[in-house]
Amino acid sequence: MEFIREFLAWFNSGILVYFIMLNVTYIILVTISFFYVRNQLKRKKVYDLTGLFTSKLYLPVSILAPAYNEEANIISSVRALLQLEFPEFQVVVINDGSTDGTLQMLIDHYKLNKVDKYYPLIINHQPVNDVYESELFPELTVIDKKNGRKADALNAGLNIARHDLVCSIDADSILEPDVLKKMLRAFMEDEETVAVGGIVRVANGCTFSQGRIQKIDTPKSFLGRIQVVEYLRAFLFGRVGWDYLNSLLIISGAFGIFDRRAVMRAGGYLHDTVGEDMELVMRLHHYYRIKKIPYKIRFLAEPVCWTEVPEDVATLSRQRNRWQRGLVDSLWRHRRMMFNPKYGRLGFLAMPFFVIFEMLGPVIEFLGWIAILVALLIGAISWPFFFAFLAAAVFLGMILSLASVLCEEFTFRRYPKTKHVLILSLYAFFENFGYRQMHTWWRLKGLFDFVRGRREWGDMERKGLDSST
Amino acid sequence: MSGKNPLILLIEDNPSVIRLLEFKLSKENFRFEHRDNGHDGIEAVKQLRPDIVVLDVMLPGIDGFEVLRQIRQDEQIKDTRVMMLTSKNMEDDLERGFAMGAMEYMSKPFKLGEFMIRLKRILN
Amino acid sequence: MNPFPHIIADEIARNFVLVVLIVLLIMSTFLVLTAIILRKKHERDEAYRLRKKEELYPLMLNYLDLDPGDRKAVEKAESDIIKRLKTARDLEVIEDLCLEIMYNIAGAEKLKLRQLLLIQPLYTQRYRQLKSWKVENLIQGCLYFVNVINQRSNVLEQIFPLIENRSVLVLHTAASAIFAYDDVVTRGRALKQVCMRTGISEMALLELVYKFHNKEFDQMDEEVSELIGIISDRSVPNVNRGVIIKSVADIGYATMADYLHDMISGMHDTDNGVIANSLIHAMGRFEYTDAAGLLTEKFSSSPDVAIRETLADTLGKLGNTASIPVLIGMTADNDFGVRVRAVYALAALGKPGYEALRHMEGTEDEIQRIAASIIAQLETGKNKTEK
Repeated sequence: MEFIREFLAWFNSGILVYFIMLNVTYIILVTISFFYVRNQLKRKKVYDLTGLFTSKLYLPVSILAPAYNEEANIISSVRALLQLEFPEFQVVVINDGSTDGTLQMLIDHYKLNKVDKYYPLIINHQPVNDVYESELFPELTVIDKKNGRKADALNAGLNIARHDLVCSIDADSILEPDVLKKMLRAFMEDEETVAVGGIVRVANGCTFSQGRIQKIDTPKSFLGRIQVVEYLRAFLFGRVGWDYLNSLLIISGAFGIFDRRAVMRAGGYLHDTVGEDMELVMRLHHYYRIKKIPYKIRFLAEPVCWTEVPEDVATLSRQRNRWQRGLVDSLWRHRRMMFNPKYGRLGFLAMPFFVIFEMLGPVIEFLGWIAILVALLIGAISWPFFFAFLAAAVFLGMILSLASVLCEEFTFRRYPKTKHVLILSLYAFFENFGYRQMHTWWRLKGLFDFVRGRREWGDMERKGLDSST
Repeated sequence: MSGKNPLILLIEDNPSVIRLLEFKLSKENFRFEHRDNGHDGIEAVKQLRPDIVVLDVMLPGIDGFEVLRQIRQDEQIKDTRVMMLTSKNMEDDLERGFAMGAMEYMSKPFKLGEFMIRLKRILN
Repeated sequence: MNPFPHIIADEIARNFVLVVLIVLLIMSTFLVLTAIILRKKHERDEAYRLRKKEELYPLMLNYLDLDPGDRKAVEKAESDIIKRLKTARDLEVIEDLCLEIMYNIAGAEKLKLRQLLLIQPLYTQRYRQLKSWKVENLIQGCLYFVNVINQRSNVLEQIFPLIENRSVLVLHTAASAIFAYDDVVTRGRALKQVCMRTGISEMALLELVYKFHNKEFDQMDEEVSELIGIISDRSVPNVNRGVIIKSVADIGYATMADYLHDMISGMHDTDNGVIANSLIHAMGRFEYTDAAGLLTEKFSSSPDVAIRETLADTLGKLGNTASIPVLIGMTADNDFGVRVRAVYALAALGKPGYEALRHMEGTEDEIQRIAASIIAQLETGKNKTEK
């Protein structure tokens, strides 16, 4: 008994240290992001109406939109893409072996004709059945291919894309019309830029018509609102902070622009991972660091992509489980970056942060809760201490979320009413009761599933590592 | 008296253009109405029977070409005189507009004087 | 025994925890309140700006309608407007309003607005900003001078050094402000100063060359001589000279085609690859058909893959059938990229090139397949037009 007490004491102290470190890191990120976004925003005027770009000499962009069974939305999604405000771009829709009428709807609506085009197969992917071009819109190309994964579809798109910049999106992403112009800023400012991510916001609750956002509002459901706070925190802090430190490890698959040749050189998307978006960004880092070519991977908080988030527990838990598996998979494949001086800040800051707090975080949190409960039950800690700890955890979590709401208020103010500020603040509080714990549990299961799955797919794992070097 | 003055309907979503033209046109004794989207625009053409429709190409929802097509297909209003407003350097738009039956065009940014001249030209 | 001797040894520690909690509680309340206060402040600010805009709008429209010859009326209208500008915020409102209207109109009215922007309080404030240390002030100041009519040399003196500013955005706005001047030599000097810098992206430089070109008056010849001055100056970094060479055709400096052609004739093997590549590129964009022979002679055996790739593309664009033998030779190049481009270039040369593709022999499978698909594509296209 004495031993258990002793052990618990040490363990709980460890948890406490972890807890303090985590929050200190977050607070540092918050502070950095806050000033950084403010600063960037002050310069925003340059790109406004009278903007700096009056010519049409932007680099042209190919948008890659993979579609799998998207019958319901495909026509309006494609129409919205074709209406983007940008001098020259191509829309490549990749029908990834849909089993519904996605392809036929596209053919009928956009008057597609088969074209007999040969494209050099630079990155391998599932065979392409046909390539179509539209009679109505010369900038629209549709690829019909055998089913692979999203990564496989994107690879096909990469091969066929005409332009040097590619924008990869989810089929259900809704881009704001000026998004490409805003994103290109990163490429204009610095020739070395190879990839840029934009902010993803929650579309639930907003009103859309013809693929454009008409009215911004918070979602009606509990989970939807919590996710708004979550997304604000993840993007306005996390990504902005990492961008400032020049060690961004992830660009959301829902929205990112890449230098096509850079992606090709690094080997395209990896199709046997569920985290192809993060894996690609890490591989780009890997590639450029090894070759010692200067490069930049950026995140911009201004260009917005709206995305529909799941509002029921089952779908959400599956999504978070998948994200966690993708995260762990990417980190595992690129584990050699850890504490490797070749990778600079990536190896000593970003990697340890992701491994300790994002990958192992759920385990530590989970064990922490158990240890504290056990300690409480055997009387090792007092009830007042237990409540104090609980309250501190809740308040710290809440302060971080509130800070992100405040940051939004200082900068973009996309939610139009005071009511929305109150709702978001309130949900920053609610989030800590139940949702966080549930979230920890989903991520823990994701990690667990990954460890179990890895044993089963040993071969694929090795192959992945080969292609990443 | 005002009933005899020609009625101009502007279908345009840019508030700055609306105010500018409203000011200029009322100063020159035209009657002026505006709608900020294609759908309401077509309705207004049917109801108000304007002498000239000034139609922007870039509209939210259904675009200017679609509005023009619907006007030309509707028996009652198919003879309405239409002037298109296009963004600069969009020669394709221009050709497309003329092919669909626009009588005159003006590319943005435009000169107010030039605009009035062309407007009066199609009035006569 | 207490397992947390170092944390809750006694009452003091417990009180400490309590204090931490209270601090956290106060912090969260503070954050929420700040957010709400900010929002309210912002709403008030927006409402104020809107009111101000409504107040100024009729005055502006009135001003636009005036005959510029009637000095008295113009001055009265100006002073009416100035009377309503009291704070820095008001100045921002009128500037935004002018820009908003300017964006949609051209000609005489636009000139009037550019004149109106020069009103005293606004000018003084923006001019002062040019001396600031803050990037955002510099940008705001420069952006203002992009849009006003201004030929004063004291402004130029302030703006020129900003081209050397560390921030690319300041460089960009400063250069744009100078490019709003009518004097070509001044603009040329600014462009050259921009080109002397390293690390400017191709996109940014292209945009600046575009702005250097004055669209309202015909100054083509003077502009060309400034550009030639930059291209021929070897102290300018090659990358930037390359970008300018590439851009001239797009902007429409037709008279420069011959100059660039001569530049190619005078090139030696030791010359820089970036420049060579840009020159070949430019010939393609100028559609300088007669240059095909010269380009082939100079570059078809270049050891630089990038140059051979550009050459293949360009020979396709130039449409000179005399290039067919060269391109057929290039379909057996030892670089895959060059081979593919040569095939596409042949297809672009019309019927003779297409015949050459059909009878192509001895190349590898991949190239044959590309050729076959191009032929198939051309044939379906032909059938369609015949129908």
